[in-house]
Amino acid sequence: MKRFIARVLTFLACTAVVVGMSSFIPNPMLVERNLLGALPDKIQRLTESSSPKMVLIGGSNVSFGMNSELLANHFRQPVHNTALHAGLGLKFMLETCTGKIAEGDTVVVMPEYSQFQEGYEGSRELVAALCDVYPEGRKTLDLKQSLHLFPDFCSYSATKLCQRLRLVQKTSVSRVYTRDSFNQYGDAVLHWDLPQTAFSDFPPKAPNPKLNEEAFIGLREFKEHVDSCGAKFVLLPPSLKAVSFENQKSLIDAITKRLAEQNTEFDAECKRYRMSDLLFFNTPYHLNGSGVEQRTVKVIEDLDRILTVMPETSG
Amino acid sequence: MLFNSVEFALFLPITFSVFWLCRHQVSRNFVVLIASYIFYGWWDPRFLFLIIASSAIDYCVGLTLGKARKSWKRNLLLGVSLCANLGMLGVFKYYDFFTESLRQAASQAGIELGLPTLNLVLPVGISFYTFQTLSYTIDIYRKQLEPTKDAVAFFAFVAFFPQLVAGPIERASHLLGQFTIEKKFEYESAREGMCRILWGMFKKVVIADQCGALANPIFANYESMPGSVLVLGAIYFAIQIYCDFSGYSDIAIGTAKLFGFELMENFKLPYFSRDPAEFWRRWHVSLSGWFRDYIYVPLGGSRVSRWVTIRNTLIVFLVSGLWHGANWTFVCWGFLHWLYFLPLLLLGTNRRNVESESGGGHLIPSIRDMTGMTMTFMAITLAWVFFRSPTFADSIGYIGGMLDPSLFSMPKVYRSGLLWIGVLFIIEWIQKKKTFVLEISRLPTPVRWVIYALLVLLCLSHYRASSEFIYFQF
Repeated sequence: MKRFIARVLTFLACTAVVVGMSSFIPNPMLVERNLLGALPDKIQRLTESSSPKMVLIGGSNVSFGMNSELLANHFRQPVHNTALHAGLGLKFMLETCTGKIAEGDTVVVMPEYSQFQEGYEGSRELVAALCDVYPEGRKTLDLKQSLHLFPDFCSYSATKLCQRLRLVQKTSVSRVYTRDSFNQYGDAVLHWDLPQTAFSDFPPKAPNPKLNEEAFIGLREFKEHVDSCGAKFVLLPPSLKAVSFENQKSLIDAITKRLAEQNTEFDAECKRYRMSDLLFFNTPYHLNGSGVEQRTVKVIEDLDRILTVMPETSG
Repeated sequence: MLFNSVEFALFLPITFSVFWLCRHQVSRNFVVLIASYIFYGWWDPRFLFLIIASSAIDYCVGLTLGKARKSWKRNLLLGVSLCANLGMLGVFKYYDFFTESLRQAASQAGIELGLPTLNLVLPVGISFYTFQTLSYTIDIYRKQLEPTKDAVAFFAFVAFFPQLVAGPIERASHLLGQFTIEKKFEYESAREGMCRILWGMFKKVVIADQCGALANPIFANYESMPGSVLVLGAIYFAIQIYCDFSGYSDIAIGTAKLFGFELMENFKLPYFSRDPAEFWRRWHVSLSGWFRDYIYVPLGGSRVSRWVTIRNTLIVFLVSGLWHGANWTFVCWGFLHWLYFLPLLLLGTNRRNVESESGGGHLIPSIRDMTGMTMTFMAITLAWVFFRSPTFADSIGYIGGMLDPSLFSMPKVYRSGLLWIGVLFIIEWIQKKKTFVLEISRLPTPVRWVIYALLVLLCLSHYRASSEFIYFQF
């Protein structure tokens, strides 16, 4: 027994050291080529911007699903699409923007539904970003989130080593997922004119899905922060492919109900953003050019309605 | 709790330590029982009552059956067990399916039936543990097994966490006795267990999940795919389901070994089979054996007229299909396998390959073996299309798409999984005579450790949280 345990522990310790060391292997491709490389660009642009401004927050449903130029022209103020990837987690997205909101700003949060479950604290993309692209962001991590990200950290480090050892191929980055895919507003635009590619819908969710209470608390606290800055907070549902929307109905209903309980409900009906299957590009969240335009028009209509009512209700 | 989860990575060493710290088998069984209920309840604690109820019924029925002498009483007790276990399975797994099928059939005949559906969540592993408890009672009824009085051992046997949710479906005659023997830690067995866990993880995390990621969009968008890509999609699913399920079995067998238990082999390199009959002797062996012993043989097996034998095999294959899921696609899958089996049965060649191994002792298989293996793999892969498709119409559409002239075009996308499939087949072929694929104890320790480390790195690199095993849904 002692021999067995000693050998297993020795092997695990050796592996842990190798994996830990691998996290220091540089990944220049991520910075130069991958869309995560755009994270510092977006944060810098937001930091240097003046108010009043409109800030869009979310995952790739926002980065690949909004035309900020239309918003900027309609509302006559600069628009910053800070969104990149759902894997960064809503917690990181909100905390990155905290401190960069000022009086007169409008903050529009459009989180993927998965952010109210395990997605809130981020996943492998956040690890990759914090290791190789934006190490300054590590200060947003707390112990619980660090533990949550630990398996992804091991996985990411192991991947870097496997790539270095040529055990796995470096995944070729599609040009729509590069640092250069974004326009001056922060919208990914290269896919707008491309044809739809094959992808799977989200599978059906079981009734009574488990929600991440931390996500609701984090969102409420962020709303309070925005309110305290004298800015306007708007929460809109993400656009989602019709079939996936129906499959996720139980989750969407549960989120809507829970948000209403803490008075941070969506400012529009979720089914309004249930969009035709033909309007999507390569995932149930990524809209194509026509989809982006239709979704942006819906967002403008909603913001027109919400922002005209808001001063009366909040005042 | 998933085997490929952080929770299990913590749960296993804790359970292992507590188990071996206990000095007596009774307390160790208690540890196994509690650990198994935690393992199962992690997914949804509400369904623990089902497994406890199933265990309690068969424990009591078993004890009473052991004492009963009158045949009517024995029949009644067996009926109680059958009704309880199959009733549970029927309500949770099949009620909505049959109700909906009946409603649709009546609707086509112009009759509107107002049958309610239950929309119940299917408890994980229900098909596995109900079959395990059923076999215990049936064996006592047949006087092939003595009932146990040790309630903790019996409950632990039913809920034994390594094989609880996706098999192998163990027999009491093989596993229950192991709970009553005082165990001694054996280094070699534990080492083999760790190797099997590692190989199972590699198959699941690196190969099955990767093939699944390639197969899913192909099956979801088959209408717009060329025939050659559809063939690739079917092959990816064939490999996915094999590596997913046999990977689970390897992890289960390996985990059990850490606790000194021996589980039966569930997969014996099935894709090296030379005919469909051989495939069924190598694929999901514990289920095939269950159907043989508790359905096929009681129906008369092969000791009856040829036509009755054909009927019996048809029943077994249809029930096997239905066991996998409440959908007509699974029934079609079973029926197709029966069609494959039928010519062998009629020609009396279904046991032709019982004695010999594929490829014999040679590294290069003979042309006859190679042809047999290729044809069998193609036929099995075609049948998997029914298994994977959500509806019968989708299966037909998919197969129709495969037979399109574009079948002969070179697929330009979705080729990235072929390399790993090739690696898997080569390793399995080279190691086919070993007791398990990662049996490399003859190599020097540093070489073995490098191989283990590379496998761990690959598993970590491909790890994705919440990737469930396919057979959990059955």
